[in-house]
Amino acid sequence: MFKLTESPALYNGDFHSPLCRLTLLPNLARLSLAPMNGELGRTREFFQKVGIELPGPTDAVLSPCLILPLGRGQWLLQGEWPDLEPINELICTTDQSDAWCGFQLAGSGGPAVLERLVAAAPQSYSCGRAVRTQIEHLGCWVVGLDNNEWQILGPRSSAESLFVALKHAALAVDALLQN
Amino acid sequence: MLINHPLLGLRDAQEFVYKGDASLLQRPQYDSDNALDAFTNYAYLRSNPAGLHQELWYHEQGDRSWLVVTRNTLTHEIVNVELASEVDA
Amino acid sequence: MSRRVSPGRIGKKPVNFSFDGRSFQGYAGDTLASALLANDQMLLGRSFKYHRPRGLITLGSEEPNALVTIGSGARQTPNTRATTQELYEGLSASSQNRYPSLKFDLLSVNDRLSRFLTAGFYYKTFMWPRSFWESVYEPLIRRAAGLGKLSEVEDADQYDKGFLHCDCLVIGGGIAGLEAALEAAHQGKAVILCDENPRLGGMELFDSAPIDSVEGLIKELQSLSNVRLMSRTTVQGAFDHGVYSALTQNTDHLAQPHKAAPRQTLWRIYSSEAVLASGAHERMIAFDNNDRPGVMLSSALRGYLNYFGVLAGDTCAVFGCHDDARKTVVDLHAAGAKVIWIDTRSAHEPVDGVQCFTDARVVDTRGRHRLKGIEIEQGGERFWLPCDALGVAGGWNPRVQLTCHQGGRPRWSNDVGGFISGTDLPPGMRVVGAAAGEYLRGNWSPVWDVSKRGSAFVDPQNDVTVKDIKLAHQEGFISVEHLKRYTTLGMATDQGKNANTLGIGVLSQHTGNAIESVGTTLFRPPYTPVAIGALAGRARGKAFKPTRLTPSHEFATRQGASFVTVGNWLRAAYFPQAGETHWRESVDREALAVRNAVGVCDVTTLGKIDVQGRDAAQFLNLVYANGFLKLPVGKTRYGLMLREDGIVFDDGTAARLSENHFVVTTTTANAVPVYRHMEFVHQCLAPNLDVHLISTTESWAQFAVAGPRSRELLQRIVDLEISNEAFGFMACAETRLLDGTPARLFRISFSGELAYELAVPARFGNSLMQTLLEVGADLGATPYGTEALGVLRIEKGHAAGNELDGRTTAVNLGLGQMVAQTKDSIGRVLANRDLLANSTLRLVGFRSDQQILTGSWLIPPGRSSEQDNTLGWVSSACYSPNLGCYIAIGFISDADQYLGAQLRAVSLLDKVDVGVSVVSPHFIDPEGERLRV
Repeated sequence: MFKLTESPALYNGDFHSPLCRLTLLPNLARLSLAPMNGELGRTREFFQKVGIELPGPTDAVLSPCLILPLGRGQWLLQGEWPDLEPINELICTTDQSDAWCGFQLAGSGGPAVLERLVAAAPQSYSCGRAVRTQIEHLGCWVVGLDNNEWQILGPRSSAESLFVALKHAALAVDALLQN
Repeated sequence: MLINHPLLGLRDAQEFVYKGDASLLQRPQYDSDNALDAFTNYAYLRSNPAGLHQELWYHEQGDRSWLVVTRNTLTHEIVNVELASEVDA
Repeated sequence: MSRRVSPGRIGKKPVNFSFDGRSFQGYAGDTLASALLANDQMLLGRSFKYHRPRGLITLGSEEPNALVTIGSGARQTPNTRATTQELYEGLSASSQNRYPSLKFDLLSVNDRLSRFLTAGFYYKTFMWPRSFWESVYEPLIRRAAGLGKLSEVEDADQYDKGFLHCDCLVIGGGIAGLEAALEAAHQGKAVILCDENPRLGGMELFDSAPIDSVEGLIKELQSLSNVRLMSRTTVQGAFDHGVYSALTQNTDHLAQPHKAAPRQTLWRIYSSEAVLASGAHERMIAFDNNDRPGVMLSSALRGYLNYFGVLAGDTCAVFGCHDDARKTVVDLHAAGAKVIWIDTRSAHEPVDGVQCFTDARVVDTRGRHRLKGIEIEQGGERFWLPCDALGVAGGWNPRVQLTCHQGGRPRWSNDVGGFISGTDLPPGMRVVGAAAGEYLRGNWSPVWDVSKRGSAFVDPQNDVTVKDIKLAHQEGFISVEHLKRYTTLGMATDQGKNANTLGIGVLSQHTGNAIESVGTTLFRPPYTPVAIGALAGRARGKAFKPTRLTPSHEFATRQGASFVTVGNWLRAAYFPQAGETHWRESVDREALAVRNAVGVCDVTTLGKIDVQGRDAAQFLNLVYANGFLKLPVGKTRYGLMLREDGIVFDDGTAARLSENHFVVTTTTANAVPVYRHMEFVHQCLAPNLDVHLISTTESWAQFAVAGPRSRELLQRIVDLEISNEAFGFMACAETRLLDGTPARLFRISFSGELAYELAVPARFGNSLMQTLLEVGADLGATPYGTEALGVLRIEKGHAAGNELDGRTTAVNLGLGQMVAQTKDSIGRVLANRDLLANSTLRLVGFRSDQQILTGSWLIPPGRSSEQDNTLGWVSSACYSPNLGCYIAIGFISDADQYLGAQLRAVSLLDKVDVGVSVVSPHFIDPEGERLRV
């Protein structure tokens, strides 16, 4: 009898420099959620009851799970979200666990790394805010987790390209500082 | 070039894909008497104004909204941006 | 001679460098130009066309003459302005456009021939024979004329790019820019100030007066957290909506930069407000031989003295028509030089101890490799005076380049004596300081051309003289834009910073038209030359574009698969086995394995879109040409998507997993366009439908399991009864594998065999691929790649990207009956147009015992190979290991008439002409029995 094994999005996704640390996140559970027409109100109420306010177009919920606004009337949940059974009839959900891969970027060099990659203003990915944009042609999320700490989500199939882009920018920042 | 997304604010045009004249929102009835003429006009005929022009842009590297952007073709000034789904066709 | 007379404002830290192999010493803070000048090296290069000896003219980025090559090999940078190249230890520079040496240049004979080499000379002379222009004349001329050379070695430097945001972008770090930045900062704005020079302060630094106030401003700005000061950063362009480009030179001034440090960073700066404080630069006056080494601008003469401590000559002449001349005279005199002042004006404040000629002009110069004397004309008399440096104060050109980048047109100001910005500025931009003409309004009398013979240079870099301008005008090139293109005036690397205004002035003087009616050419980005590498940024080599890897990539790599690029995807093309020496052997084996046993192929790259909502079926019914309302849950249907003009857009399948949940597949190439199109239909055409779309291409690893033994194999894998009765053709199910892994199974076939597509979450994909092959080893399970996939679908006559090429209709593909006539769908109405509906072009098959090439034209035997005789084209071709011959599919007109006929498949490009017989496109199992067993 066989037993399938999980692969990581990337076999070596870690990078350290004196100014920043880039870490590949493990495989995480992700789900897209879209209330059916007319059901946004009841969906919102359900989340409010468990202490979660579905975030607006430029915001992010960081706990108890990560919630990002995917588009109008659609959200991405990551981590351990509340049991959605009670609103099953109101919402469309799609497993998105393997649609994305995630990197954690931390350190004082972070802003300089991100200003090399992200066209959007830094305020759009400050703590508690999130921006869906492109990094080197890849559709990505940049989420502000804390002061000098971000999560970057990108397409899983391009995990290596995204990692190389982040690492390349981090190397440049590091080298320019030592110049 | 920047587009002032009604939900997300100013975003770089590199995140968007251009489609064309916003008259594409007014799709004719397939079963009307003059459907063939109406669809021929719909698919092929465009006005080419020197001045304000309504056009469709898609926020592909963003929230995937289709937008109706009113742009001055003489100055590139963008005077209005709306969600296509909320424009009365 | 020119020599260092003081440490100026740069100090005395020695730095060694070389020029044309000779060693020199300068000071830290020098530019290459100032250091060479301090070493009495006045001759720096040869001119573009006439190979005349040239020195430097300016002290900034507008320098047209002093272009040198820095470094060598992979780091060689040609056409670097010596006036902006900062000196560093070990810098090695060489002169350009000379052979064999700078002092003795063989092609300087061109200068003797300059009488003949006037504007348009090449166009007029090298007309015959016509074919010689490209093959003989142009290469010869290009070798003779030119700037520096490329090393032709890959650039070893790294480049960088980035994005910056601010409320106020200040361009230029002179006193006006510094003050504007401080004002904006005090208003609480986020400010970025860019200046192209290494040190902020602008022209102030080049004057003899103390610079305490400038230094005070800089200190205050440095202390503010909302201000970012960026020196060595040139704003290169002003684009729509407050977007600016700027280039920072990170390492060009360093002897040993950090190995990973990017040489330059190209910034895109977003700012709703911009202050252009770019200052002004001085301009030349046209007198004969005004290009000799030693003739420079008055402000340059003064700047080299005050900032770098370099006195350009023992006897310095200053020729001016402007108050600025006096400042130079005063400083030179104070530094101990013998000074001669020639001024075109009749009255100005004298300087004690300086010989001064009023109402006078310099009309000619002499000296071969450096200036030796000037001819002065005063009161109708001409006389020569010896001198070894001449500064010319011809008036000032405000740097209005950036105001033109969105179509703004500069206007002439008599008051300023130069072109200033018009009112049509880029939105959000204002112009301050000298760039707006401030400080420049003074006692000025316009002087353009004072030459005797017209051999006065207007554009020294392109060797355009007064004579050329006159000639071009005589020949009818009256518009400034035409004049520019005919004479190449202002088309050099300095983009006419020096030449344009003077050229327009000369034209005005000779035509008698007021300068404002002559007009001006516009400036476009970039403000100064930008290395191609900087535009590429980090997007080089593997980082040029992102790569998408399939879930089984690791497996395929281990198998030694050969990969092919499909869009951004990297897909396994075939899996060579030991002993196979040619790709065809591998592909034939894989294709046969599918027909005879079972093969497994990673088809994850096909686009997948989740369509959910109460109106999901209705939505698909609109998007697809065929009907979807009645598709039962648990079934999959082939779907044909049209464009609104009736041409086929894409094809794929839609599986109904539950009442309100469909999974749509698209072709690999159209995954993104189809998704975009579906969002368009939803948001723009049917916003009230309850539909929610999301791409799941990345989420699911999907494998085609195809061949007569595929069911046997899958029954060992999935926890689902899949007999023909329980799971018939086109069935679909959400299920689990026997180990509990969630999965989706679709009974669909691209190969024409009994086949399934099995999907699992992408993270299990690599493991599933391996497991399928291990578990199916005894059944002959074989991995196959895109090549065999192609062979199989051509054998079956399935259309793919080559057939859906944006020109073909459902009728052409033989799928006309699929376009439902009982409902609305995108493209339905226009697909029924006579033009499309009556087309006789049909998809057919071709067989031959010789190789058929894709793209060949089909021509009846006995007819010549001309466009008029073609019946159609070959869209896909391969060798069929199952049929043992070459086969192809393609389109021909009147297909019914030609079925069974012999045609020729001709490719004139490849010089291939083979006989083919026209057959049904369904080479294998035309009745589709194998699919349904």
